[in-house]
Amino acid sequence: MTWARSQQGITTLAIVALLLLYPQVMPRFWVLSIAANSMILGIAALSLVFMAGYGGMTSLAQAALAGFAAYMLALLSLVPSTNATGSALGAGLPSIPGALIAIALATALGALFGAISSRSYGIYFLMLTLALAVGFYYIVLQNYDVFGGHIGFAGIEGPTGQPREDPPTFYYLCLAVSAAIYLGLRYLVRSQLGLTFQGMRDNPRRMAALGYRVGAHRVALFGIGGFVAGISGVLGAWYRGNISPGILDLNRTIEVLIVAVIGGLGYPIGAFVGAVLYTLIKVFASSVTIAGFSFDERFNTLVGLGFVVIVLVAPNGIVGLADRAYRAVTHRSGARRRAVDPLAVEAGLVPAPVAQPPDAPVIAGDDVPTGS
Amino acid sequence: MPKALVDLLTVVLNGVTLAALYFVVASGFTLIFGLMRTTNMAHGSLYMLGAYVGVSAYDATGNWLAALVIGFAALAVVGGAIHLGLLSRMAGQDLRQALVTIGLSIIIGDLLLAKYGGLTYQIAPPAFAAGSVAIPFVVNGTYSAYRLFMIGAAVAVYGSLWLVLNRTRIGWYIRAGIDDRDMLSALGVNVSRVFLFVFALGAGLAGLSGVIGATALSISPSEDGRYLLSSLVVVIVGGMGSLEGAVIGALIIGLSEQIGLFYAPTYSIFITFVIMAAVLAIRPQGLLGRPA
Repeated sequence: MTWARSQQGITTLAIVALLLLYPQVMPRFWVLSIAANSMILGIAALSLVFMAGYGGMTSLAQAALAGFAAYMLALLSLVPSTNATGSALGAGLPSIPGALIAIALATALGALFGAISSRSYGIYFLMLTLALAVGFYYIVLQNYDVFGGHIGFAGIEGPTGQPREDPPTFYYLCLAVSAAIYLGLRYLVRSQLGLTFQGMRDNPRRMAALGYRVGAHRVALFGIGGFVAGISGVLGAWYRGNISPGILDLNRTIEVLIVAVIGGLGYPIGAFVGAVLYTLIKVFASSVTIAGFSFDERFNTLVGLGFVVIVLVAPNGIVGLADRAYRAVTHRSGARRRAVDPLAVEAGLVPAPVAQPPDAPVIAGDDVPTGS
Repeated sequence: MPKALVDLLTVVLNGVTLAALYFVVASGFTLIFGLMRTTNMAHGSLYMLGAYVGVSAYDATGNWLAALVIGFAALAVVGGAIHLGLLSRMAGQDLRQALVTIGLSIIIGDLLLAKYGGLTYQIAPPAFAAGSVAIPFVVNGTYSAYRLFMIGAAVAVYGSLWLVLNRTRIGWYIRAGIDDRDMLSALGVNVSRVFLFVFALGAGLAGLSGVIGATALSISPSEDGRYLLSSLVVVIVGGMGSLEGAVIGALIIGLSEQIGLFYAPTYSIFITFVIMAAVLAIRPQGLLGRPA
């Protein structure tokens, strides 16, 4: 084992130990409002990072898919007679089976969104998924028969009961789910299927020529995105205990996008880094007033400005910046960052570039060939 | 005439007048996208800004036409500034441009909320389009004159844009730029000035439609999402970058929304989206869009 590897192992162990100890030493507010909340938001952002980074599909429908899962959970698990909104809906299932069905339905809706958008690329895809998301929000807002209109549903309880009464258990649930999704997606992107997704991201036409069914793979990728987003939605519903159309409105859609972009669209861990940062800013900006400018009232202006600055100066987000700084310090930048002319390599003029590992994607989107 | 038919004709008229508004909003969006491939996610916010500017201008002048002109001009300046200050620096990077305009839309929405609060405003219609007009085949036999005027306004906007695009030198440049931007540049045309013109014009149209919409309906802080959505759906259905497509898209969306609202109130948006999905299944580039 090399020094670098054992160093990496020690760092990982330390992080795991810290995450496990965290709810035992921190007050309830930090366990729930900061940590659990960040993880729920992080999972939603991770579904976007996964689709954008590995499939070149920057989907703005992730908040809508998460919200859909939350609504399905409410409809499946609430008991009609105890429904706080007085609605006669609810199948009265226990929380875990209800959650599994809700996530399965979110996966199916993701696949349906994928089928609608499977022939759209790049910016067209972005617009279409945004239209689907906002449209779904208006359906939920407008429909009192099924979705409870602007009131929504209350009284949803997860397997760990009210998070407020037992914060550590709910924290561990979120942590276990986050870790499972993170590791699962990391495994997936190195598999045959993950490599196919990345091939489609880089050149869908060539993949189609090689015999891959690009449309079907894009539907599948969107389904996976719906699955991950759905998990976030279920955890969010358990966390809040009630749901309303606000959980899937345009603000929430943009929130998920902001978190993913702050962390870095190309880095899965960035989703969680971005979520923690965003949650901290959101919670603590409220108490700051500088020169009559209240950060609480004008929080959105602050977030919008920060977002524009990040997009302008650090398109790969915080993790991208850290990655670059780390490479600069350890002199590991070199060939993999430079575009190398293959003819020059053949001629022996320059060394062949180091193959890029599959877990460091290039953000596509601007240069994705359009057309099918 | 049977009541059911009168109801239907009224609903259709409502749909067409709504489509007129949707067309004017979406025309700026599709114009910008057609030439520059810039998706202006702040288009709904520019609509809202135009509406509020119109409210303030009407308060100050008491003249509706002055409010309309000020709404257009102010937003053309804002659009030009956005283009020069931000978007032209990342030409060709459409995803980054979309993200930046999303950031702008958050800022604009929040600042407007700070200035105007959560109240709902409406601008009084001009004297020449106030009151109602007698039309025998609609409910109650009368119809809002202003809503009929909106159809005229949409026709006027379409006609002016058609004339600019087809009969003026800058229109030649714009159409040539849509076909082949690099070749146009190689021929010695200052393409960045054409871009600036188109972006300012598109933003100005958003402002103009804001004033028209704030008079017909009203304006309140969450309207930006609604008009961004309507613009997106109109150009997705009609075909991005096509003015005629925007006309067809706006008619389909306006009619389906109003017919849906009347006959199946809680499912009207759902109907709109079924239409959008159906169009995309057959023509991913939209009805009149060209394959990308």
